[in-house]
Amino acid sequence: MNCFQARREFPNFWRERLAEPVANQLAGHLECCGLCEQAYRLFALTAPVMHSDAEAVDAMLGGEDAVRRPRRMPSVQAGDAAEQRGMIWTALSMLVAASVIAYIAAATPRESLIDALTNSRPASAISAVQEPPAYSFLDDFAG
Amino acid sequence: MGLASTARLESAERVRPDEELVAEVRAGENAAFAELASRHRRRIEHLCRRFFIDQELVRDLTQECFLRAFAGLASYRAEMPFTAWIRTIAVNACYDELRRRRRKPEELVADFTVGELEWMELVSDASPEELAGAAEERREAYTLAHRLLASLRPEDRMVLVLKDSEEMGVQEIAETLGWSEAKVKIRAFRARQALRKQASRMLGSRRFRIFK
Repeated sequence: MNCFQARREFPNFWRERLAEPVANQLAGHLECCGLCEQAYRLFALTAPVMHSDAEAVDAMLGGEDAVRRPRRMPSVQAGDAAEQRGMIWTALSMLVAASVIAYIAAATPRESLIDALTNSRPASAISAVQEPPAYSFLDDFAG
Repeated sequence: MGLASTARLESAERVRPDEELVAEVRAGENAAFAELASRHRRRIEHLCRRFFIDQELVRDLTQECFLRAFAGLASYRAEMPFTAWIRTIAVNACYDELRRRRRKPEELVADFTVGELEWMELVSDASPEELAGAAEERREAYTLAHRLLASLRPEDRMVLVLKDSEEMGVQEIAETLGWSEAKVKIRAFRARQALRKQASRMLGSRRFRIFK
């Protein structure tokens, strides 16, 4: 097989459609002819588009279905999904616990609504700092 | 089974030629066009996929080809096989789209994916027998080939695909694209040169063995 014959058979060699003796001859030629080997490798770079059958392209794209609709991103593994569920439950539990603590720890309002509206001192504040009543009759006893 | 029913069965099973279906469509039987479309759709889609990697676009172009064919069926001449006629429509639709998408050739972008680099390594190192089988199931082989071809000018890519993939003769390409035969030959020569240059740039930059 000479170089011209070899290069003419590239597409059939690529599609694996050559009879075995011819394919062997071509492979033998490629082994001993550096220029043809280089040409075949260049050919192989574009062959998936230029020389592949429709079925081969389907296979490269991931089956006929892939041609009909865009490829989906790979889904998570089963183990990853279980791990993710565990993390979600932990986060939810922490959220609930934090809410309960915040509710309990929340201080009772020091002002009543009426205090707030009348802008007077809060009742709790009054009770806390209330001074003893000034009894005038004690002064009399003191003399 | 009687002779008449056998004849009816044979008639039903007979694959009707395209020209007969075309005549039916022209006579107002639009259903015949659906059969024509289903008969040729896959081939036209495959031709469009030689130019575009976007499968959505490929479907749109295929549909557009059949719409153009339906609209232009009145101008169809039976001297040309329907297969060649619809292919001419598809080639022109793809050529228009190629030119619309890119006014000038782009440089090959060098940010290859890991899969594409692995495929380049295989192209560089694997035995010729292994290569074809290795390309199957590898989307990267397909995407890389598209990237390489996309670096060519639209007319270069067009002539390469028609000559090498569709195995059309120079005269046929010239008639399809409305070029002179000399232009087809010159374009084919320059397209191969450009392809080789782009491939060596792509692989040479990565120091793969083949284009050192």
